[in-house]
Amino acid sequence: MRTKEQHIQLVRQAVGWAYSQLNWLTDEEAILAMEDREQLLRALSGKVNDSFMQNKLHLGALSPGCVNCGNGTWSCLFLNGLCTADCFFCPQDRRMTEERPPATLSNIVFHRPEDYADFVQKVGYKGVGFSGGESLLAYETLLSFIREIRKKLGDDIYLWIYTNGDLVDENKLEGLKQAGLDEIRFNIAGRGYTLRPVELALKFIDTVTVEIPAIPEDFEVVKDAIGAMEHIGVHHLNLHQLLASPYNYSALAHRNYTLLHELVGDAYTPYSNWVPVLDSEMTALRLILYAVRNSISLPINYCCQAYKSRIQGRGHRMRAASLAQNAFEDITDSGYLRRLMVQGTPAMMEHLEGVFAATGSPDNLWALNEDLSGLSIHPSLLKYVDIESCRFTLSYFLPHLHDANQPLPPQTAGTNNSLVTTSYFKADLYDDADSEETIQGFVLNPQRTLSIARYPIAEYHGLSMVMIKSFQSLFIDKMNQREVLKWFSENYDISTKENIQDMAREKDILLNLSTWEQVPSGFPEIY
Amino acid sequence: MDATTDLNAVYAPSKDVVTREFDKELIIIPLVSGIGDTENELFTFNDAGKAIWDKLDGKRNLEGVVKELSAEFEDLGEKLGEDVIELVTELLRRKIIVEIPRA
Repeated sequence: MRTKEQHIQLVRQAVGWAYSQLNWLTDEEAILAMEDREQLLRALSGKVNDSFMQNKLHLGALSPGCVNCGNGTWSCLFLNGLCTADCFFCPQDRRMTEERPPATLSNIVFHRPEDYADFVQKVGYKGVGFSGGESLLAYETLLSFIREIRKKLGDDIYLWIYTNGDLVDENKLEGLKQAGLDEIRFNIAGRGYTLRPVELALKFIDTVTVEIPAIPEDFEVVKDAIGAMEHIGVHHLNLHQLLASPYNYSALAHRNYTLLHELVGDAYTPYSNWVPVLDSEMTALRLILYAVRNSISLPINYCCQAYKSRIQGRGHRMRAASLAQNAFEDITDSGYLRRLMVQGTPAMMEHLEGVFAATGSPDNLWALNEDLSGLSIHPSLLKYVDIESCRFTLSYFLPHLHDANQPLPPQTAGTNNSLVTTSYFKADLYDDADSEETIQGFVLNPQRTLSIARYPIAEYHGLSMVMIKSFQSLFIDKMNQREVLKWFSENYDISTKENIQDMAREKDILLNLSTWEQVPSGFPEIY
Repeated sequence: MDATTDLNAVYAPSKDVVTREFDKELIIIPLVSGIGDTENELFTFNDAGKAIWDKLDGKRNLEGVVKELSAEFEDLGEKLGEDVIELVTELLRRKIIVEIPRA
């Protein structure tokens, strides 16, 4: 688990030269901001929902698309990089002048709708969102993808698009409906919050959502718009936390926004130098409070950056992990692959294999190393490990589904991403793409095969039996942390002075494992 | 806020620490962060410290602790009281002991 200082240092590195040009909180300001937010949350308490491990605050129901996102069953296809607008808040590169082929967040390019439909089906997605740039600039492409997915998956998939509304007309809406679109989401913040295209869409599309960033200066305008949205029958309002990226740093600095030391990106995204805006979070919460106090029935969802990092990131990892997992490995609650290995002499390994076989456990639940000194075992076999003196290795891997013909996002190979930042006791940590352990093919159809890679991100060697039993109690059996640490502390062998140091370090490791094992919940600390 | 030591207060070990003995030393192992090992080192007691620790069991106030220890270690004289209060202050600061609420 990173300390606050490590987070700040990471953000400094990621933002680079622009860091000194942007607004950050002093310690005193951070305390006051926490108090302000706490006050807002207290006022909202009991009147709003707190979904997805308490990472998403919302008033009323979520759109089925948002439910898919939270469940990790959502794929987003970026149809092109072009846009009809030039919004100050847009974190994307707006210098693009040429069409870009449809691609996923992890840059898997799909020229053929058939391949993407196979991808959606084989990975097991239940929802697809089509984004841009401006998705309607690629209208014919959009239709072909919607039709193909609908043909292949029928009603077993939920489809929506993101648009700024500039190109919306009756013909396009009719075409989208006929193709099988379920939901349309309008970002009307760049067009003065006009509801004209939204109103038109309500005549054609089953679910119409307004999805806008929470812009502090627009608080009063949006407040009024909320009433109008409710009046015309908008189904959902999604409020996003503004994000600062190299493409809008100067615009946000000009508006005097305060940025937070939270990194947006995960290893497979190109967003490792994006950070969220504090003022936007406060604005979103105030808008929801306004809706609560005025008994507005329009469902409002606050999509904060913490949710995206924790829950969206987890969802992506979970899907890739389920494809990359060996039977003797587990997937952690936060979507990493975990491998547990018993270390010892070849004779000990042979003995253990015999013990496991005698239990009738399937033999794919363990795997012997080439040099016979380690046995990777599924945690369910731990109870049969009867050698108190043996040591263990715990390894974590980041699963990643990608196109072998496309370069990985540059940050995947960098050092300032969210993979690994701290050093651990007897741990080898990896943070570059060259350490990719295995790549296996993922066949979509005879024409298209993708790759599943796994990046080793942390490895802890020489762990004691007491540590591993504690790990099992804490992260697999989900026992109370205090009770587990008590048991660990009371049972660790301290027959030598070195053992005492080892105990302290192994305790730290045990607590640090939550980085890979658990998803944090609640609003993050402000600083 | 700094912990303040009160002679009338009754102190006991925090439920968030475990003690172990090694080579005649008592080792305090914190169970949650922010306790005990503020400098990333485990807190340990020698024989004298252990004697004080044993009295901090929630059964007598600090004045009683000092009196009992003074009777047991007569040769240490008045300095013992100062040492006890200094240690208790440090243990409170590190949240290794807590004050038992008065009835």
